[in-house]
Amino acid sequence: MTSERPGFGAGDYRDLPEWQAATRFASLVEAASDELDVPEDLEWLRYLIARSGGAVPPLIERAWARTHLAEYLLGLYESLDHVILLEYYLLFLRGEGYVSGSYANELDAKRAELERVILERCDELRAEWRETHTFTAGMEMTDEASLRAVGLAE
Amino acid sequence: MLSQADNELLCRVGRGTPMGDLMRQYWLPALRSDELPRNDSDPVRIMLLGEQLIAFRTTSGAVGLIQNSCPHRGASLFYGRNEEEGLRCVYHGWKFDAAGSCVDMPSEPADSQFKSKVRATAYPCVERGGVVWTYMGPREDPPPLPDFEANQAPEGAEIGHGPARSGNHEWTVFNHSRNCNYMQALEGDIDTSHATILHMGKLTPDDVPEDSWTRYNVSEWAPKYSVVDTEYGTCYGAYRPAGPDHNYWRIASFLFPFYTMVPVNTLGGQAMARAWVPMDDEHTMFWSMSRRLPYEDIDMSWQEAANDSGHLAMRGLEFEPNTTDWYGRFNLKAKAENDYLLDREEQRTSTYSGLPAITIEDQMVTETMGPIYDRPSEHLGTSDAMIIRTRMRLINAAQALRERGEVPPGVDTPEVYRQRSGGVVLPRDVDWLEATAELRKAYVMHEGLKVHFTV
Repeated sequence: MTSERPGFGAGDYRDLPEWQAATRFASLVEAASDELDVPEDLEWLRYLIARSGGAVPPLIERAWARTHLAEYLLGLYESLDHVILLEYYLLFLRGEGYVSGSYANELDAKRAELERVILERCDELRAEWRETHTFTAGMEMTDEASLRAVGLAE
Repeated sequence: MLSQADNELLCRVGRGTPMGDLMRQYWLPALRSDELPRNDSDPVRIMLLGEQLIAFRTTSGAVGLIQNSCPHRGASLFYGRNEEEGLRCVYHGWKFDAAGSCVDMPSEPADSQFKSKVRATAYPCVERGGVVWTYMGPREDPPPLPDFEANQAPEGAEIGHGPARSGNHEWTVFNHSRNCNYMQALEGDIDTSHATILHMGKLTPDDVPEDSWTRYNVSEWAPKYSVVDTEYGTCYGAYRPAGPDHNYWRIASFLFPFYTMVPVNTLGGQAMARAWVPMDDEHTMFWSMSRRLPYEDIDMSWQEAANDSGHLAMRGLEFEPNTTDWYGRFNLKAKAENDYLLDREEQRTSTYSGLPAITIEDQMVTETMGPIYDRPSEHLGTSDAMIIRTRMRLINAAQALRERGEVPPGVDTPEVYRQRSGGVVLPRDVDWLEATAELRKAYVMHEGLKVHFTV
C-alpha cells in the first residue's frame, strides 16, 4: 500500500496553510536581515539568516511536488531545520546585542508560530500515513526487496 | 555561533552553575567497577563535574565516593588507609565510611561525641554492568538509574574493556579521556556528516561493494537531515539515496544530559550507549557501553582490505599506563604533544587524515578546538541542525531548572533511555519515524536481522 499523490493532498501548494505561513515569515526575515546592523565579520550571518528564511517556502513547494506522502513529510522536516536555525541565530543576535530583546521576541514569536503550523501538519500527515500503512515489526516491509534491503530476508 | 554567555552556560559544569546543576539531577557514570578490583583495594582519584573525589571499595564490597579533602584539616584522603569498612585519613586517623559518616576520631577524647557531628561529602554509588554510577544531586532519595540496554550485564558476567564490538565479549565498557569540554566532544558524535570526510575521505564508491551501506555514505558527502525533539533529547535521521527507490538512513540520538547513540551498525542490531562525562570544564571521560546482540554479521572483509590499503584508519588504540593523577586515567598515546602521531606521508598517499585511527581523528578535531570551544566565532550551517537543536534543548532545560525548578528530561523516566540507533535502508514512500519505531526500541529482537558495521 502506498500513499501516492493525490492521496496525501491535491491542489495548489499556494493554498497550503504551511506554505502561506512560511511565505509571510520569509518576508519578515528578509526585511529583518536587510535592517540588521552587524559588523563586517558577521555578514555571513546575515547571509545565513536570509537564506534560512527564504528556504522554507520553496522547500514546501518542492516537497509538495513529490510522489509520496512520506516525501512531503521529509520536506516539511527539512524546512523545520531552517526554522530552528533561525531560532538559534536569533538567540545569538540577542545575546550579543545586535537586536533588541523586544524585536527579537517579536520575530521569535512569529517563528514559533510557523514552527507550530508545520509541526501540526507533520503530526496530521504522520497520523494519516500510519492509518494507511500496514506494519511488519514497525515497518511497512512487505516486499522481498525491501525486506532484503533492511537485512530481514536473504 | 552562540553568545559568550550562552556558551558559558552550556559548558561550565561546576557546582552552582546552571549546567552543573542540571547534570547533578542525574546518575552519572563515575568509574569502572574493575578500577576498584578488590575489597579494601587502593583508592582512586576521580575528577567529576569539577569535584575532586576519592573512590574506594570497602571491606564488604560497597563503593564509596568521598571528598578528597579530609573534613578535619584538609589533607588528601587519597593517601588514606582503606581498612575495616572505611577510609582513614593518615594525618590524625579520622575515618569515614562509604556514606561519609565519621566513624572514628582517635585524636579526640574517648568520650567525645564530636565524630557524630562530622560528615564528609560522599555521594551514593550503585554498580551495574561494570559501571559505578553515582548521584551528586540534591535529592534525599535519588531518582532511578537510566535504563540503558547496554548496561544490564548480569552480575558475574565477563565484561570486555575494548572498544564496542572488539574481541568476543558480549558486554563491553570502554573508556578514554579527552582533553576538552564535554560539549564539543559530544557534538562530534551527533555530527554525522563528518564521518564520510574525516574518517572515510579517501574511500571511493569503487573501494566498497555495491550493496554496502558505506557505498551510500561515500557516494554522497552531504546528506539531508530530519531532526526531531524527543522525550529523551533529540534524534536525527540523515538520509542519502540508496538506489532509485530507497534511502539509506543513519539514525542517532542525543539523550540528556550527555549521552549519545551513534549509527555504526544496523538499526535494531546494536545495543549501545556512549557518554561524554565532564571531569571538569576542560576534561571529559568518554564511556562506551555496549552489548553484542546475537545477530549474524554480514561479510565486512572489504573493510579489512580498506584498512590494509590505508583508505580507512582502523588500527587499534594504544593507551598510556594509568596513573593515580586526577587526569591519569585512560589516556591515549596519540595526543596533542605528539601531533596525535600524524603521518604526513600516509596523509599524502593513503588515509585522509594521516592519523592512526578513527578515535584519534575524533580526538584531534575536538581537542584542537581548544579546551572550551569559542562558539561565538563559529559558523554553523544547515548541516549542523542536530547540533543546534541539541544545544537549544540543553540550554532551555538548564534555564527551566534554574528559573522554574523544572525537572529535566529523563531524570524520573528511566524508560526513555530504552533506545537504539543505527542504519537502515527504507523505501522512499515510508515515513522514517513511523517505519523505524520498533527498530529504535531497546530490548526488542528482530528475527533474521543481519548486522552491517559502518563507520
